[in-house]
Amino acid sequence: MRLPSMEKYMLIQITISGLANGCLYALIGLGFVLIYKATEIVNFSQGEAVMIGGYIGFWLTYLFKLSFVTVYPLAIIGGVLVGYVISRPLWFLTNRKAPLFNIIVATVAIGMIVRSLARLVWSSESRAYLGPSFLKTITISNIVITSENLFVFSITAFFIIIFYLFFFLSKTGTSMRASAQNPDAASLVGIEPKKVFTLTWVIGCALGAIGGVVYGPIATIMPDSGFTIIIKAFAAAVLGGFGSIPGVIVGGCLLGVTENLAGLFIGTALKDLISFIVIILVLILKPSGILGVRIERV
Amino acid sequence: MKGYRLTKSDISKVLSIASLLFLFLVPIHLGVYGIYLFNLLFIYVIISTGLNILTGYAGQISFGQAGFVAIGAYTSSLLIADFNTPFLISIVIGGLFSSIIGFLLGFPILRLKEIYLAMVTLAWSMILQLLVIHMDKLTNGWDGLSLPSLTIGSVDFNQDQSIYYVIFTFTLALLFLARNIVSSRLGRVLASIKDSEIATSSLGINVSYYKSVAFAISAFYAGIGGGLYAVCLKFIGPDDFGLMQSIDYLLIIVIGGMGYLSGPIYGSIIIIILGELFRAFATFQELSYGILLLFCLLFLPGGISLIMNKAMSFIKQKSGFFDG
Amino acid sequence: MKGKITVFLISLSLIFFVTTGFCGERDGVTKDKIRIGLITTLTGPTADYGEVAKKAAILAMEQINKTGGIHGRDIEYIMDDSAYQPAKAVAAVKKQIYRDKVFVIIGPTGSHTALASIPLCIEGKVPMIEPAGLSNAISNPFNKYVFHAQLTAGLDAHSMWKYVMENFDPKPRTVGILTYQGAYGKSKHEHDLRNAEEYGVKVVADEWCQWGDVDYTTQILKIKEANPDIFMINVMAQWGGKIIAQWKNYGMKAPCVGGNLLYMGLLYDTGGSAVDGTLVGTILRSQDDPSMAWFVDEFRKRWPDAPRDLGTGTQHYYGTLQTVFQGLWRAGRDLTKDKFIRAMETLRNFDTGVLAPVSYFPNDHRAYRMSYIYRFNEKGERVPVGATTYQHPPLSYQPRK
Repeated sequence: MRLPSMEKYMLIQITISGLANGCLYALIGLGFVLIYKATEIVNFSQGEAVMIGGYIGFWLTYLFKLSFVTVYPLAIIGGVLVGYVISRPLWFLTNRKAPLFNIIVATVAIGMIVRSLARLVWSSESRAYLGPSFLKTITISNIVITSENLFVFSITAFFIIIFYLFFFLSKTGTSMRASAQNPDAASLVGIEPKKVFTLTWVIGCALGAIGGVVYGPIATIMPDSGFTIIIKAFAAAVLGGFGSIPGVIVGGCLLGVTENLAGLFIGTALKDLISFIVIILVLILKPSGILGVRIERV
Repeated sequence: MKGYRLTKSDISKVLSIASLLFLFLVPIHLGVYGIYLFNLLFIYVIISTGLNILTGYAGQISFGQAGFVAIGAYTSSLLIADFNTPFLISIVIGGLFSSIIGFLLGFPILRLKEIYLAMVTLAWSMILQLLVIHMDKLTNGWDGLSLPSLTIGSVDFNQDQSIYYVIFTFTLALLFLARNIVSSRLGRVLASIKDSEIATSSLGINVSYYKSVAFAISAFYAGIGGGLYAVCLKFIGPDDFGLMQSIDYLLIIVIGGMGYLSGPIYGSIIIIILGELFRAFATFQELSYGILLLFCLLFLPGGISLIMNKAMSFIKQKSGFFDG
Repeated sequence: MKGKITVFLISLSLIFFVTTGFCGERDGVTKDKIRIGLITTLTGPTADYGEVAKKAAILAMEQINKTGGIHGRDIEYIMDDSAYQPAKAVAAVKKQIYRDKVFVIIGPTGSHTALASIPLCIEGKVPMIEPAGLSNAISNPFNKYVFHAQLTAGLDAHSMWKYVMENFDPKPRTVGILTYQGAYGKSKHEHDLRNAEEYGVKVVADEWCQWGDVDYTTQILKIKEANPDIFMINVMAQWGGKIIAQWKNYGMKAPCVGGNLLYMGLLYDTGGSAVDGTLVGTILRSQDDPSMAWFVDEFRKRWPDAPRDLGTGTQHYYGTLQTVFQGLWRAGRDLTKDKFIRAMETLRNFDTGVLAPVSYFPNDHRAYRMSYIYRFNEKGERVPVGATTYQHPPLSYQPRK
C-alpha cells in the first residue's frame, strides 16, 4: 500500500466523484430497498427496470430529440407500466403465500424475460447518448464537477425529497408505510394490501427507470446493462442496511467513495473486487449494515 | 410358470436394465455431437443434484454453485496440466477440495436469513470469477487453461465417445449417493431443517453444523461436475463459471422439481433441449427459460417431477395392471 | 428408481430426435450449395459486436447469392451463438462440424472461445477463420486449418507505437497507460510495455478499469499526477470517450492514443468533441471515408435500424467473408477443403473493400501486415493519417498439444 504523493485536491476530487457514483448506486438501489421494505421481496429484476429507463432515455433523446425535462416524466411512466406488469405475477404468488424463495426466483425469471424481450425489440447494439446539455461542467479552484456529476446529484436529491414528501406527507404514502409495518392492522383500517403492493412495485420500478435515465449518459445502454449495475446497487443497500431508505443513500455514497479511495491507495487493478468483498464482509460481520435494524440470525 | 403375473418390480427391473444398456451404448449409435450433448447433460445433472440437496432438501438458497464448479474445474485442471496427476484422481481431489471450502464457508454464511444468504452466495459467485481472472499467474486468467491429452495407460480419453463412460459412471455413482443421503438420517435432519430450524435445534441438533454439511455436499457435487466439465471440454475459462451459470443451475432444479431426486434430471434435459431448439435464436433461449421458470413458479411449484409423479399415480389408478 | 428410468428413456428419445442431423452431403458441399458456419456473440458481453457481425455476414451472403453464387453454388449458412463462453462456442463448433457438416467455420468471436475451438476444428478437419480474436496464440503455433483474420495485439501495439515515435515531435519520453481488464486489454498492455521498453519510453503510470465501472476519476487522476507525454488508453470506445472527455476537462494536453478497440464511432458518441486529436489504429477502413460510402449505404438499406456508427463487427465479418468467397472461387468448381485452404494461401494483398489488404501464405496464416492509423477530429470523423507495416515474429511449427 503505497501512499502516492498527491495534493489535497486529488483527494477531494476523488471523493466528489465517489459521491456522485454513490448517488447513482443509491438512486438505483432506492427502488429496490423500497420494494424489500414493503414486501420483503428482493427484486432481482430491478436492473431491468434501470435498463428500460436507459432505453427510454436513449430513444427519446436520440430519435425524438426531446429535452430531458420531457424525458423524465415519460421514463417514469415507462417505469410505472413495467412495474405494474411485473407486479401481477408476483402478487399472485404473494397472495397465495408462496415461499419467499419462489418469489425471489420469480423476480430472477422476470428479469430474464425483460432482458431478452429488450434484446429482441432493440437488438444488442450499444446505445450512447449524452446527458442534458443545460448542465455544464463547473470548476471550482482545481476541482472539476462534471455535468454528469451535477446531473446525478440533482436528480438524486430531487427524487429523495419527492420520496420523503410522498411517504410522510401524503395519505397514500402514509398508508403504504402503515401497511409495511403491520399489514394486518392496515387492512383492518381499510388499506387494501393488493393496492399497496402494486403501488410499491410501481414506484420501485419507476425509481429504477429514473436511475436508468441518469445511468444512460454515464455508460452506454445494452440489454445487459441492468445486470451489470445492479450489483453495485445491491452492495450499496447491503452496506447501508437492507431495508433502510436513508441506509441505501449512505451506503451508496460510502461504497462509491470507498471504491475510489481503494483505487487510489490500494491500486486500480483490484477495484472490482471491492463491491463484492464489501457485500460478503458486511453480511458476515454486521448483516444489519450501517443504519439497519438488527435482524435475527437463524 | 403357470399363472405367473408380471409384477411391478419385474417391469421396473427390466426397464432399469434396458435403459442402462441403452445409455451404455449411446456412444455407438449417436454421432459426436449427440454424445457431447449427453456428456453435458450428465454434468448438469451432477451439479444440480448437489444444489438440489442444499436448496431442495435443506432449504438453503444458493446463487453460488458456479463458484464451486470453478474450484473443482480449476483444481483438477491444474493438477492434470501442471502436476501430471492422473485425471480421475484429479477430478476427485477437485471435488474434495471444493467441499472443504464449502464446509468452511458454510459456517459464517449459513447463519444468515434467506435473502441475505442469496446475496452472499451471489457475491461469492462473482468474487470467485474475479479471483480466477485476477490470479492469472495460476489460472491463466482470460486466456483460459487448455488440458493436455488424457490417457489411462494406453487408453485414449480425449474423444467424447470415450470420456462419456467416465462421466456416465460418475453420474450413476453420484445419483446413488444422493439417494442414500436423502434417505439416511442426514437426509431427514436436512429436511427438518428446511421445515423449521428452530424446531430442529430444539431437538438438540447442531443446525449450523448440518447446514455446513449440506453446503459441503453440494460443493462436492459441483466440484466433481467442474472436473468432468474440464476433461470433457479440454478447455476452461472464467466465463464458464459466473452468475449466469449459477442461475442456470437454480433454474434446472426449480423447473425440474426441487426436493425430488429426479428433478435435476428433468431440469437438465429441458435446458439441453431448449438450448438445442433455439440454437439459432439465442435470445429466444433466454426468453423461453425465463417464461418456463416463471410458469413453474406460478403454477407448478413441484416442477416437472410433480407432474410426472401425478401422471404416474394417475396411470396406476386407472389401470389395475400393477396391482399385486 | 422408476422415475429415473422414465426420465432416461424420455431423454434418450428426445435427444436422439434432436440430434439426427443433415446427412447425405459430403463436407458441406452439394451440387448447388456450400454451407458456411458462423459463430458469434449474439448474447452476452460483446453482443453488440456479434449483432452487427451477424447482420454484415447476412448482407455479404445475400449479395453473393444474388449474383449467382460461386461456380453455380449458393451460400447457405448456419449461425450459432457463443455468448462469449468457451463452453457454448465448443458446443456450437461440434454441432456445426459433426451435425450440420459445414464446409468452413467463421468465428467464434473472442480469443478465448477461439482457442477452445481450434483443437476441434483441427480434429474435424474443418478450416476455421477467426475474424475477431486478437490473441497471438490463435495463429501460433501454425496449423493449416486455422486462419487468423484479425490483427494481433502485437500488431496493434506496434502500429500505434511506431506511428507515435516516428511522427511526434518532440518524441515522447513518458507514457501513462489505462487498461481494461479483459482478454484484449491484458494482451495489448503486455505489448505496450514491451514497445515502451524498446523505444526507451518510461511507463510513469499504469492503471486498470473493469467492466461495469461508472467512473474513471481515480485512474485518470493518478495518471494525471504522473504527467505523461502520451496517454495510452486500452479500453473499449464507449468508455474511452468518457475518459478522454474527463482528461481534457482536467486541462491535460497530452495526446490520447488508443488501439483497435478505441476505433469505434461510439468514442465520439460518448465523448463529444473532446475526442479531437485521439489516435487509433485498426485494419478497418474508416466508415467516414468516401470510398466506404457504398458499404455504408448497402448496409443501411438492408438494416435500416442500424445506429449512427455501424460498429467494427460489420467490417470484420463482411471483409472476412469476402476473402472466404474469393478462396472458394479460386478453388474451383471441384471443391474440397484442402483445395480451399490452398486457394486461401494464394491471397496476396487481397482487397476486400472494407479492410486492410489480406495475405495468407502456405506457412503463415496471419492475415494482416498493415494497420491504418486514424485521428479523430472534433466532429467525430476518423481522418486517415498514415499506415504502419509490421513484420510478424516467427511462428512455431510444433503440433498443438
